[in-house]
Amino acid sequence: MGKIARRGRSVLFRFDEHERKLLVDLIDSLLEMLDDGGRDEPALQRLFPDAYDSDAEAAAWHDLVGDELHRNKVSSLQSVRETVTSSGQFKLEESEVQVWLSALNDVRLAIGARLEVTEEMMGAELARDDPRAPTLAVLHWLGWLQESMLQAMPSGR
Amino acid sequence: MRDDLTMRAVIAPSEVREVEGQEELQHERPWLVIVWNDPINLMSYVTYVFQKLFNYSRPQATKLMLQVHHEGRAVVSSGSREKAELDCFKLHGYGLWATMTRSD
Repeated sequence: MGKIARRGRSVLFRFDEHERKLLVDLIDSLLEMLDDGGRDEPALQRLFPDAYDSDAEAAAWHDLVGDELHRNKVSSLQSVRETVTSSGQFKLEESEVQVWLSALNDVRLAIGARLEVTEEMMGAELARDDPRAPTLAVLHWLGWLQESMLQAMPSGR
Repeated sequence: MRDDLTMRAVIAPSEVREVEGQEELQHERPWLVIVWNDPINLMSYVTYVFQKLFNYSRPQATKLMLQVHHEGRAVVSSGSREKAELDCFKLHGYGLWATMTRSD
């Protein structure tokens, strides 16, 4: 089981092989989705929501910032992938932890949107034979990683 | 449903930045940035993002997060259209579900 803890002004991360592989797989599938585009993909609709109620203004909004938002998300995911691929133990500064937080959040949002997760589902335990149970477990694990990172933030909380 | 909630947000704006918002109201109708509740984002993460992006204190950020959680939405910032668009852009970068609307 991985570990995330404060070490002075940095945050120490330690992952086992299984966790590293899982993170890389999850990141790769989101990168693939981001690469494929497709505005009807629920995960992408959640990652790039409309900022305006009116369709015309929402479309103009996507034209204005969509590419930059997309580039930022891809770059954060790639950065996390690179770090976790190169080592199972590393220290990150607060700004790097922020990149991890938003990248893992995007992975969670994408999984949650595809699974059509509700508050009830997040709070309850699914039956063991429920086909959604393994994915929901991954969602909770990523949430635990995020929570651990927030608690380990050097700026203190 | 969304419009009704938006209206309520406008009638009862967050007290954070109240002075600034009222000044702008007298000159021109400001744009409001609204964050909506969603089942995935962690409460601690949302609080952290509010602190980072808007320099809210921990108690202010927590209050706004709880408003999003319990009431379904909260106005997190207001100002010119350009400012609201920038705030929405940053919030979407962090994965928060944010929209903007003209105050009336």
